[in-house]
Amino acid sequence: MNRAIELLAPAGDLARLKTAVRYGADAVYLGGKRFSLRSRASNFEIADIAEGVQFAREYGAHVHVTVNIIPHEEDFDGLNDYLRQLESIGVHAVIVASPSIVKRVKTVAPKLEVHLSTQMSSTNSLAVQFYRNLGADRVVLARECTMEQIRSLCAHSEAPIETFIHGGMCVNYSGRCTLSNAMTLRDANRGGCAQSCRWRYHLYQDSTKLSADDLLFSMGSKDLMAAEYVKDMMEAGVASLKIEGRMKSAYYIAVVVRAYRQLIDWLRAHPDEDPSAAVQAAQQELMRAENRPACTGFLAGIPGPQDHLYDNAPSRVTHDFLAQVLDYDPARGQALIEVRNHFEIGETLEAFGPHLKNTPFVLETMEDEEGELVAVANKPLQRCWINAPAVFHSYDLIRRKERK
Amino acid sequence: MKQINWIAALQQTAALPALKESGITTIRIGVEGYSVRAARLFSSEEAAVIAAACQNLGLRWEIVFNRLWMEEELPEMEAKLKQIQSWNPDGIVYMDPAVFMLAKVLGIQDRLIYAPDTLTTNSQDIQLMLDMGVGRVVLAAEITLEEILQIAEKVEGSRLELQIHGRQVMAYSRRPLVSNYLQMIHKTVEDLPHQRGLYLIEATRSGKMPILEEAAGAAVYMESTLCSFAQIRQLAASGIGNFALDSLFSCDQQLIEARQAYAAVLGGADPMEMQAQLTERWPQMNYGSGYYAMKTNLTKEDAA
Repeated sequence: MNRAIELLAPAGDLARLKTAVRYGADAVYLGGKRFSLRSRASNFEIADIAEGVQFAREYGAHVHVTVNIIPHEEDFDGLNDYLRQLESIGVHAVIVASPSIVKRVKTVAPKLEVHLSTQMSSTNSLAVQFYRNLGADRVVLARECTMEQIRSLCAHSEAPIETFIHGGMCVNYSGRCTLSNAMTLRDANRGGCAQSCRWRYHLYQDSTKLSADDLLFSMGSKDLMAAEYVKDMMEAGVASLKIEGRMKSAYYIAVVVRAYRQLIDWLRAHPDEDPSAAVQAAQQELMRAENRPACTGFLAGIPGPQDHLYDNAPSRVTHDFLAQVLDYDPARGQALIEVRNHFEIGETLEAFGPHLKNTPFVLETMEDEEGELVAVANKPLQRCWINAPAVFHSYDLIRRKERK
Repeated sequence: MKQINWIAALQQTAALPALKESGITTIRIGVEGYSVRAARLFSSEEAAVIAAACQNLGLRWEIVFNRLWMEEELPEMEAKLKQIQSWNPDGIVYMDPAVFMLAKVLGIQDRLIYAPDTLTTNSQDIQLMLDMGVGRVVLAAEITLEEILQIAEKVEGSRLELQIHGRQVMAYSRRPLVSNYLQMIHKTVEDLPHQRGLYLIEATRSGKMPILEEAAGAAVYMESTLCSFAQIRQLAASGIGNFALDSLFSCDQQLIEARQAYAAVLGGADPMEMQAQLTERWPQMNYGSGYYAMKTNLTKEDAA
């Protein structure tokens, strides 16, 4: 079992980077303003990345930066300087989707590890070796591999292997899709994906309409949720477990990272025990943040119709994020919180955090910083003191089971 | 102007003489178990017959070996590559780097034609593959004419290939997208892998996008058939040495007439006139200019 397996989390900005690290990520990946997919999620200036690297270092964590566009002729300008900057501020690795950039990094910024992006659709150990020979230090597998294939691939590969365990899935081979280019002039391989795969389509055979008007064709995939495979992946020798979602909220990051962190730690501590209960607990926790239906992707085989999204799937998130804890006063047994969503006195809430187990409590008292009683918290970023049934810590979060 | 290699996908063996007569110089064939998204899948026995026929006609021939191989399929891939080696084709179209790794061991990497769909969008990545010993690289579809010409200035043209005619693939999935959906709505389509009449229409649009489903997965194609009459003189002058015409959603005769029209345009005929003539002959093809003038670098904010 790879007890040192890395939990790799996404971050769309510095706040989410810090959340991911506080909640247990071993490494965080992010995108800069250029050279990165998910351009809307790439809010990091070099100074932000430097601060993120420093912050992560305090927790023994790494920062990986996506340089994962599939470049056109015009896209190389400034790349060398950018790579040198990343190296100089202590970034651990860059995630790359271009063979020439793999080689370039090794020349220009040799202290950076190069992780080959899933955009390159690596599905076998010979492909992994090809990229290893070019200089890749790690290969992120295509999401099309089954667990059995991952196991065999790890056994036959010299390069460390990274696999996705959670989050959105491209329905097509990542990087081999230009639906967005053709339909919106936005290049999916240069950060502009419009997710045209998730749109609705009529299906015809010659002049005969096959599709059902009340359930049109779509290429949308359910999200990946692979908690039940974490033990297999650790035993297979996977080097890193990756969570997708640089666009996701801090609450989502906190819940998902913490759930996998706790599961990995439990598996490390109990390698010979039946993990069913721990996996089930992780899955229940993940559903408290997951707002789309989930499946296990290709891990058990080729996805069937039940693994696709053909309708506007309703939100399935089971909990609402309400507030973040800023401070705790042990003398009063109260916590200072910052409000993010509407809630009121008398409701049953739940606090949780990196070091706080899920702690349900009834909200009995709430007052603002001037000591005025507050019956309903409904102002964004409003600060209130509330009763706390346990020792709360800064950056703990408060949520509520979704109202029916 | 340098000698140009005109490549045609093959549907019917009987069309070989006419293809040759039209000016086609290389025949590209798909073989059952070896190829995906090929115009037609021939049996191994048929492939041998076609290879011999090409030799007799003075045509080169290439095989499409463009599957992405899963880990347990590597022994099968090795066996098939050795079989291909024994057939001695002039070119082997591939997508998976694993094919390169084994071809190098077999000493046939110079016959390889790298065609990864989307990954060949710049001269640096292309040159890298050529420097490693690959014989030829196929340019990605989603680059503009300006970008194509820029790449041709920097890379040896005789080792570049461009699809100039036929439907361009937009997306490639390992999932059985069509049969999964049909199962969901309790319908079936007979002989799905050989259906060429399936297409999608986005719910708010009218363009017809062909969709193909085979054992290895599904592919979606652009709503127009690429036609390069307006660009062919510039492309030919750029030094690109290999032009491919595909017939996945058409037929040999359409390629023959297209090849003749390209020859006419290069000989001075009016490109628009030739396109109008071809459109009149094949109105269902919905000819278009692909990405030649379609730069796809908008952001969400730009698009809004």
